[in-house]
Amino acid sequence: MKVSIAGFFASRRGIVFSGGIIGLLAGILPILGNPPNMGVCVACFERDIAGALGLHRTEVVQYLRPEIPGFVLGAMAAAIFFGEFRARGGSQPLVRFVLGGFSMIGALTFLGCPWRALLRLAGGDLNAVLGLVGLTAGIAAGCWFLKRGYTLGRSWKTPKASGFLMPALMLGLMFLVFIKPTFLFESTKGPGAMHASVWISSAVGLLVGFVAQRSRFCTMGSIRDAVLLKDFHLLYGVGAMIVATLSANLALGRIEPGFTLQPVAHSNHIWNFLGMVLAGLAFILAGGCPGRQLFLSGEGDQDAAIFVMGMITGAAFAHNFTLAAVPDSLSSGVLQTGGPGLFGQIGVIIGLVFCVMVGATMRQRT
Amino acid sequence: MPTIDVRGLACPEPVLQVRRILENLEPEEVIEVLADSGTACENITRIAKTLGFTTEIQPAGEEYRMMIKKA
Repeated sequence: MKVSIAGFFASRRGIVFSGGIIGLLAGILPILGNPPNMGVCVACFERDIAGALGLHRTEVVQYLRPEIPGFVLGAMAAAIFFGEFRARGGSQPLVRFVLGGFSMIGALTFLGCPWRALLRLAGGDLNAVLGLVGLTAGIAAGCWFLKRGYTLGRSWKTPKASGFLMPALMLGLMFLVFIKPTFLFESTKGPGAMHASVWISSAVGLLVGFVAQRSRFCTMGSIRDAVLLKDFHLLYGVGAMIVATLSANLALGRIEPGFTLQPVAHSNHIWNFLGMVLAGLAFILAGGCPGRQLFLSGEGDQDAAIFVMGMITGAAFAHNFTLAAVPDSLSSGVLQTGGPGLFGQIGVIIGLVFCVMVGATMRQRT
Repeated sequence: MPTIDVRGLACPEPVLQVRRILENLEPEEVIEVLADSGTACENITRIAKTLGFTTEIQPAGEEYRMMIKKA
């Protein structure tokens, strides 16, 4: 039975099924309380977790999102059940940490990870087109480095216990979600105050983690494989995700096409594009989109866990140093176009320079 | 028989390394690939099939030994 399930998820039908499930759940979660066009967003949710833990003090984005620990624990369950749990690490951890930090700065310049870019598009937010073009440009640049021998080197087997550290930390977060200690920060307004019940969010997280671990669902990988290998397997999953979310939004009447005043989004085209160039480049240099990094960390991959820690730290920096973009808003009936401030723009440029240096210098000649 | 060791390498490096070899492989040649993740096995099997090769996977503890030859 295990073999037939594994075979199904490795097939085209399996990846389409996975993308469809993720897209459908992501389309429904906003109805159940999550922010609009943010049924699931790894970058936003990690940012909210950073806020809940007091690592930043932006009051509108502080909430311990159960979906994130759910992803890791669901992936761990799948990896153990199918005999794929492998404790491993040691492949340039510091480089991966900094890549994680800059990927978050890029994502918070756009206001979303690749998953949310797809969800925003399916909700009619046309700014997502700029983000996805930027993401593709960043990934294409990463492919160029890969073709020239870019590598962060091998990871190595580690004691099994160390592979369980990240799932244990996530189990701790899940515990905090349910006991709600007073030291946690929790938004009373803004996106951080919008969430489905912890039971539903936890269940969705666990299910998505399980399914995505089996199918290897990866948004960044879908574009990378298409560009680099002409392999469209993962792209079928991403296509299914968009179709499923779009269908849910159509059925629920939640599509409002346009650029300005979209939910938790800005219409500063240049920085929507450049933010996702940075995110895409950082993701491909680290080997996976933010969702995939969570699933890998659930499989015992401590390099992926380090990347996730870098992302959470990057979120703290982004909000403490006002690097994160602000959404479009109306002031006395006049549109105030959002986007990153000067520090955020400088942060993106420094991130791009860092990524290019990593891509150019971490090479193995063959 | 050439052996390619892709253990510990992150995506897409295993596939890139194997594809580079497969594109220059003589019709009668067989290659052995050592991998340590299910993801690498699936990706390599897919790219090998696309290029007209068959893959036989032998689990070896927590690792995999893959034999790839012309279909």
